[in-house]
Amino acid sequence: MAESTSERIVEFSCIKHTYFDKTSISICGLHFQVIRGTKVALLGPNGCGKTTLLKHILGLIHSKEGDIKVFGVNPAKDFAKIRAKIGVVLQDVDEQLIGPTVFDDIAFNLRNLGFKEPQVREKVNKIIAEFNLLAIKDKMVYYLSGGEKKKVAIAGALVHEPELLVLDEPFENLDYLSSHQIADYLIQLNKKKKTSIVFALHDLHLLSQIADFIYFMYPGGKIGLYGPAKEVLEKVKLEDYQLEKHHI
Amino acid sequence: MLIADLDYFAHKNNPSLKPSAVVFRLVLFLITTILVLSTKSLPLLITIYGFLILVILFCKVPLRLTLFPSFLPLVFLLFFLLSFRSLNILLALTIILKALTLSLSTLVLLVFTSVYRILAVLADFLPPLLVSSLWLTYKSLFILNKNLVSLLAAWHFRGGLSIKKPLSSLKNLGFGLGFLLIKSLDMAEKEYEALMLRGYNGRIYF
Repeated sequence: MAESTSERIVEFSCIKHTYFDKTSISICGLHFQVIRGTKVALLGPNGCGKTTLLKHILGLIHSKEGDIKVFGVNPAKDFAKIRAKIGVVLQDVDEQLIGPTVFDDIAFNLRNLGFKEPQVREKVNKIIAEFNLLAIKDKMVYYLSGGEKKKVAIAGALVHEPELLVLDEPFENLDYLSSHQIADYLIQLNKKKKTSIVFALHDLHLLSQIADFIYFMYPGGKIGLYGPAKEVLEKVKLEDYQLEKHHI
Repeated sequence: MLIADLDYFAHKNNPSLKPSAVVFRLVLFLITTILVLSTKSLPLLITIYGFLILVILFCKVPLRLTLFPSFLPLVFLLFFLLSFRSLNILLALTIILKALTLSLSTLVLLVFTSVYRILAVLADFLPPLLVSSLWLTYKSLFILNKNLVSLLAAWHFRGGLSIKKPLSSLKNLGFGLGFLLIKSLDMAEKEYEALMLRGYNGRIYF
């Protein structure tokens, strides 16, 4: 019951989106909400609508039916108002990296948000050190490996200290050590700064480490289960949805 | 892809090029271009062309990145020259040499100076939106190149292209080109989304 009195920074009940090829995804079922300071995972088989849901949160797609509220506004209409509060890492990082060098890319959000150059340098250098990116600081982004690109994208999403992090498969392409280092970093960040995190992840081991709550989505976009991570992972028949139970 | 190889060579050999060096090269390139375009003197064109070749040989730049691709405009130029009913040999040679010198000087500039460095300098003079567009287009070439390499590998391993089966090869080639076209449209959309999410304000900082 404590949850209902806390601040909900993301919430919707039922949203529907139709892609240009007439594929329609209705994300319905349980009421979806993200309480400030929690880490919420989306779990479900491929094609169940996890990325679509994240895109709705980011306002990248408009819902045909139903309203979504992020920090009290509809992100599809007023994303500019909440941009500074959100950090994003999408599935394909190639297109997400914009700056020419690793340093410039991480600094991109800060400069756009109007930070002064000394502040930009301080913040970027700090996160570069924390993510062990010093050796590639001046490297051009398109010469990086898949894992390095992912780390740079995550650093770029975190550098302006957002209140909400939206991560779509954040550990894809990362090696074991890097995945765990970044997972630890996210857990610490959540503890210290109460940063809320919404993420889609297939690695159940990491998922059970990071997530406080899980929304389980069934094929077709139905949100069928919600609860504390451990409970949901015990309830759901993961093998029925091609999710690897042995990883838990 | 030639542009990726050129960029890699330039970046690898000059990882920390100073802006003043880039400006010097750009000025030299500009002077060469103006000279080549304005002159009618064959000896001067031969001298400039010879000088560029000497630079390439002296600096041990791979010929596959400079000299060989510089002949590419010749294909189109020959069609152009063939369209004349009567053509003075001297004039034909001058036109050919102008085209070769210009293409070679561009390749020499790019093999020694990464496009990123050039844009970083131009960003101070050109409108930010133009520089952003040039940079994003240039960056996209590398993503497309990655896709092209994967596509070629898939064709290689799965036997998509074969001289023995010209019709099915042609069909597969069509699928491949279609895939690249759709990929580039998809890429443009994703880049736009990323720019929007990351608060792009009309300027990319170099």
